[in-house]
Amino acid sequence: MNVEKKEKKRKTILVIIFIAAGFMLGIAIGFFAAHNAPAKTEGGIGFTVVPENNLNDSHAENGVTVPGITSMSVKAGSDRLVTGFYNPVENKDKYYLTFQLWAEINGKDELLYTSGLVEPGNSIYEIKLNKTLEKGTYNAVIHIQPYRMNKDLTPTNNADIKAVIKAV
Amino acid sequence: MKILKAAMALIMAAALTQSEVIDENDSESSGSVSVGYSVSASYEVTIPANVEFTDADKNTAIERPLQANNVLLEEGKHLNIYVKSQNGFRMVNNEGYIEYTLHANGSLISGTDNVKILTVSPGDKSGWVLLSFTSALSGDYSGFAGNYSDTLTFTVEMV
Repeated sequence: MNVEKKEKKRKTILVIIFIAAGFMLGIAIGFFAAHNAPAKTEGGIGFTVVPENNLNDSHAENGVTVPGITSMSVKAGSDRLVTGFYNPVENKDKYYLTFQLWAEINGKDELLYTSGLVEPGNSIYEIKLNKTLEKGTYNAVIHIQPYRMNKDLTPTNNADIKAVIKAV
Repeated sequence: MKILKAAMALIMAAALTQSEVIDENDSESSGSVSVGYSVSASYEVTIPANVEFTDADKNTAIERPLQANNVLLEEGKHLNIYVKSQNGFRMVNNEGYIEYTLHANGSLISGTDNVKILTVSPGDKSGWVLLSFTSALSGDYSGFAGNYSDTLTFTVEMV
């Protein structure tokens, strides 16, 4: 009889522990989901003013990696330029990159090329320039704009990479 | 083992003899070949993609690292990284703005021009700087609900 009572008591304690563990797991999942909600800002720095019962944040944020290119070559008079534009694999599942190539020609900044979305791990080997270059060395800027891989393709902070184009 | 050593010695001796024959008898074979390998300077920079403040943490500094990795520079050259705010360190929308501050390794960054935040010295393969963002909003915001945003541009150059 005493053994039966003890067994019943043990089972009751186990059921209580099981229910409590499930309850705590539910709270943990809810907390995790709330803290990983997507950011709502259009730019890279944002403040969302929301009703108190609808707060969210997205502090679990990684950076976006952009490639550094210092020099490019083109044959004078040709509109084909070999680049080293690529989207590092570190951005996998997170960010597309786009590339714009600007060059200072006769004291004026001119847009020579605009890419589409480049997926992580992919690169652009050769591009077609909007205009040809005469023999010489040109100061250039590669404007790299990342976009989140979400439905809205939200743009983030971006980078300007200074380089030179050698037309030979 | 002795047989193997003897065989190796024989092969080496034969090769040596053969190379001497070519050098001595074939005057047309002399010449030079230019062998080159061009290594371009390169690097990767990881910038903060996004920083999001909310009412719940408006007075808490949010820290994000900026890192330069896999840095390969030309001899004697540095890698400089600058930051510039599109809206002068204001998060804006159509209804107004909310100011914020940016510190780089503890130094306040201000103004509307490029400000240098990191230099990677010649020979260094990496570098990093800690960026700290703080909303200047104190108390409740008296404007309209909505999203207020700014965009930072990080400029990188080898000099």
